[in-house]
Amino acid sequence: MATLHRSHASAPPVRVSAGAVLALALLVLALTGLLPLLQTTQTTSTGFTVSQLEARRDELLATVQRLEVEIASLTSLDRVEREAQAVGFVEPAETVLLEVDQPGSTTGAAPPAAGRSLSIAGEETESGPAWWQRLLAFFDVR
Amino acid sequence: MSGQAGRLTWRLALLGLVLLLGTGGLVFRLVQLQILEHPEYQLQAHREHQRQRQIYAPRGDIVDRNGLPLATSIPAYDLYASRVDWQEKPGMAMEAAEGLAPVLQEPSAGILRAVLNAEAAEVLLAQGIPYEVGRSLQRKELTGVRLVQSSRRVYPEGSIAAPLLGFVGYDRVGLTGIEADFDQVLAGTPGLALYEEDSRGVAIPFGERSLAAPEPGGRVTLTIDRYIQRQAEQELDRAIQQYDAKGGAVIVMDPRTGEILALASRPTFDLTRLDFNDAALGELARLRPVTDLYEPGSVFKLVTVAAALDAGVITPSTTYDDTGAYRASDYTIYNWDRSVNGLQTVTQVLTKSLNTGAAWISQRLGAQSFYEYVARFGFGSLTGMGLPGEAPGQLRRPGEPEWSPVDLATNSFGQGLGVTPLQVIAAVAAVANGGQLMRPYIVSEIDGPDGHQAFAPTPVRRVISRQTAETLTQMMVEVAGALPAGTDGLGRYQVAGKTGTATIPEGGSYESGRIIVSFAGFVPVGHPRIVILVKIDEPVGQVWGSTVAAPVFQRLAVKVLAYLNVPPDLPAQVRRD
Repeated sequence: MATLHRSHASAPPVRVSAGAVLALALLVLALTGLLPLLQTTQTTSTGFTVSQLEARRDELLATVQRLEVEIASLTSLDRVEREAQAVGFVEPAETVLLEVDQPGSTTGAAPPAAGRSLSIAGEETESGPAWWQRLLAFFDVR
Repeated sequence: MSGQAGRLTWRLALLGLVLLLGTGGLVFRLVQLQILEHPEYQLQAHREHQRQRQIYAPRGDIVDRNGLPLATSIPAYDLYASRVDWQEKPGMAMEAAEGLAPVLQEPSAGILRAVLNAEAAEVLLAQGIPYEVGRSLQRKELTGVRLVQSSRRVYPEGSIAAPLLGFVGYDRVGLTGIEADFDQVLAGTPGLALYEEDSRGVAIPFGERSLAAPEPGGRVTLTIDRYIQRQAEQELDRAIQQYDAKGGAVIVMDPRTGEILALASRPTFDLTRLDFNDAALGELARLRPVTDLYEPGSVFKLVTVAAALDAGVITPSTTYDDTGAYRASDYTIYNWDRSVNGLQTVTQVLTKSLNTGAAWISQRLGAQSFYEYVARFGFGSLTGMGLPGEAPGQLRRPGEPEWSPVDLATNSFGQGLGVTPLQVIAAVAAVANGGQLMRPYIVSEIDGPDGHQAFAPTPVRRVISRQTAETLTQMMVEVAGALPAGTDGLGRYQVAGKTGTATIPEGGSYESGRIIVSFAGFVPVGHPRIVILVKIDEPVGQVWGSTVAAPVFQRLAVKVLAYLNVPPDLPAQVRRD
């Protein structure tokens, strides 16, 4: 009986044509050449944007400075006097400083809010805060 | 056949050699250009593309004591036109000139002519063009037109304190006043931008660039209050106009600290309309209360009386018999009104401003003592306020060749010596401050390249005792109270003051008929808050310190006291019944 020895021969070699290799190489080369072009375009575009933003920043800074000077001019004494006279203000004829013979608030507590502190005529205040003030204080309402 | 192959071989070899030599030459040239001479060509390329541009530094502010700007800067543009470009492109040059005409408010033909006839390659057409106008010109991209970012000085409060603030020149360097004295603080440091640009002159994005950022100018804070300064200038202008005077000065000072709250002088100039071709500008820009001397007249009697009181040679009630004339050396001293007053107390000598009495007091004091006190009050030397150009004054002293004994008599009533208004107010402030002389100063803070600097009040020396100061103050209250129409309007505020009317010497004599009137005083007496000196130069008519200068003091003091919320000596009381 004959034994067939099948030899483990290697697969037949793949034959790639030179044209395909050349085409692939050209494609890779083209893509490689395109990348810097894309990068440069992006850089230029970004650079233009940066320049625009810098110019805009300088404009805004200049605007801020101009507005500050405008504020100073609008609050100048000459203008204030002119506008005040235009709405009817006059120079005071006399200024009197009064010394009032009443002590100011000396308690440590914060003064009551306007409106709530107005005492009704006849209401006793010497005895302390009113019940509703005590209630508000209890709930820490100011 | 072998012969033919040999011929082919040498031809081939020859060709190969030629090619080899050619290639070798190319390679050598490449090596030479790219490697050996690379730095030189790189530098040349940099030079062609690299540009540098100075970035202006905004000039710092001068502000008043409340931080309100008296002088500040806004962005602007300087406008240049290229003669070379306009010569090469006449059509576009005309277009550009027409575009510039409305901005420069000049006919386009004139602009064209000015640029084309210039010697320089580039002509500066205008400085300090408003920012918006400059930007709109930039957008038009006019041929040969270049706009350089710069700044323009503006004055929100107008021309108040003009001689004090000073001004800057075309090159933005301070020329006078605070602008010049603190130019290093205010100027800042310009920046520098290095960048590459292409053949069209457009900056190459992400090309080689570096930037040194500009450092903005620092800030100078004055002790001046803009409201008080304005009031002082208005009152001074009113008096000058009313009496047709040549000029004058008003100084307001805080006697406790030496801070100058107002420094007004006339004549002055308009900061908002500077004309550098005006030959008088230099004169007008002088800070006269600091640089100019005058004979103080009877205000100086305060110094004489203060010295004699402090030395103990007189008291307020010491009497002097006034015969209307006083003999000093070979000269006779008369009273200003040629009056004869009989027995007078020292207080009355001061109230009636008797020259004879003052001369008598100085004789009792003695020359050495008198001039010692004069020096202690600060006369004859700089006050040290820190502004350049300050005059020390003129004073002849015993031992000096020009001094004579009659000087003692005339100096006692403020003639024959030269002082500055600043020295006078500092001396009166010393009386108000309990006898302590303070150094006057006008710059309170600097924020500059060296950081923040604050200037504190500086006591100079004790001139007279506190007791003497109080005694003299009461005498001055009587003087102020005796004024005909001077200080009544101050109501519940007690005023201490002294008038002065001095003849201006001419050619060594006092016959010129020209006078300087003044009033120096402080208020309120109980706790002096302000000292005011009013000096009016050459008012016309029958005028005196009491009629011209004292009313200015009164009107100004009323406003300043109300503004500063100073309580009066005698407050009005309100009681609950």
